[in-house]
Amino acid sequence: MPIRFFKSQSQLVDVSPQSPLPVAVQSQPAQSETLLVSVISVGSTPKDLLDSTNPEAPTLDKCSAFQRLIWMGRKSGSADLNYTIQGRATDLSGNPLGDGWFEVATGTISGSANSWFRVVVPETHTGWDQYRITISSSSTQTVFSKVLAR
Amino acid sequence: MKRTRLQIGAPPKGRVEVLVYSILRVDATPRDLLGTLGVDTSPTLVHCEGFRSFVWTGRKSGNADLLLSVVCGNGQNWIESFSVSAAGSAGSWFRVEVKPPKIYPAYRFIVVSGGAQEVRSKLIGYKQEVF
Repeated sequence: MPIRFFKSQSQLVDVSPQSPLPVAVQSQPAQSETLLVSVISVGSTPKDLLDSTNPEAPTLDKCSAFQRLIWMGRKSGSADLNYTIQGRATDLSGNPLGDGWFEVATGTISGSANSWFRVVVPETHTGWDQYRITISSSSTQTVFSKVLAR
Repeated sequence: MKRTRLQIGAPPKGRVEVLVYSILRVDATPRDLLGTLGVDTSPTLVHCEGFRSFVWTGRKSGNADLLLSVVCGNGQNWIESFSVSAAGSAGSWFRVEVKPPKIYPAYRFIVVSGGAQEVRSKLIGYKQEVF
């Protein structure tokens, strides 16, 4: 009995040298890029990973092609880190379509002093050109960060 | 303290394309993202066979919800349609995922709003399954 498959949405064909079964590449490694590396001192005033308190300043730019952002790092103190991740779109010149931001995610990073953390912005929340990642802490501590995208 | 934003070059090509960037005055009259009026008229996008899904992002100037109707077809005949909405106060940003039930060559993206407002938006297309 021949093996048949849909070669297109309406064409059912037998497997043959002329019509081999389609395959998907499964083992291709995901390409990722390092977007940011930073070391900042964080206190009660929210600031972004580039140490900016300007609420309109983007932390990351030209990101619309990335489908996932991974923020990982290490905190020097035991106080929680409160974070907010915001996004917005830009026009063809790279200027934001307007002021303000869309809130992509917000949360709290807990952990003892010198512990590591990891925050993922999944596919269902990406698509923005610019992102602003701000953090604050009830007591001053140093935060080491790295943001990867793929 | 040391801070470095490394990403200065172009992001990876090929997976995502910016398809439409528009500034529209929208109201209760259906119009597409390119500003043309009507529902069953010319497509907003053609040659879309390579795109699996879309994301519509932007900023709305009014409080009224936005309704985005997506009409799918081959450019001559419209076969099916579906709608998604974007809510938010005046001056807020929105993000809407648009996933057609099937891949079509042509789409018409039609926007209506209960109250007149300006919508600055961007439509990007994904060439692979994302969400």
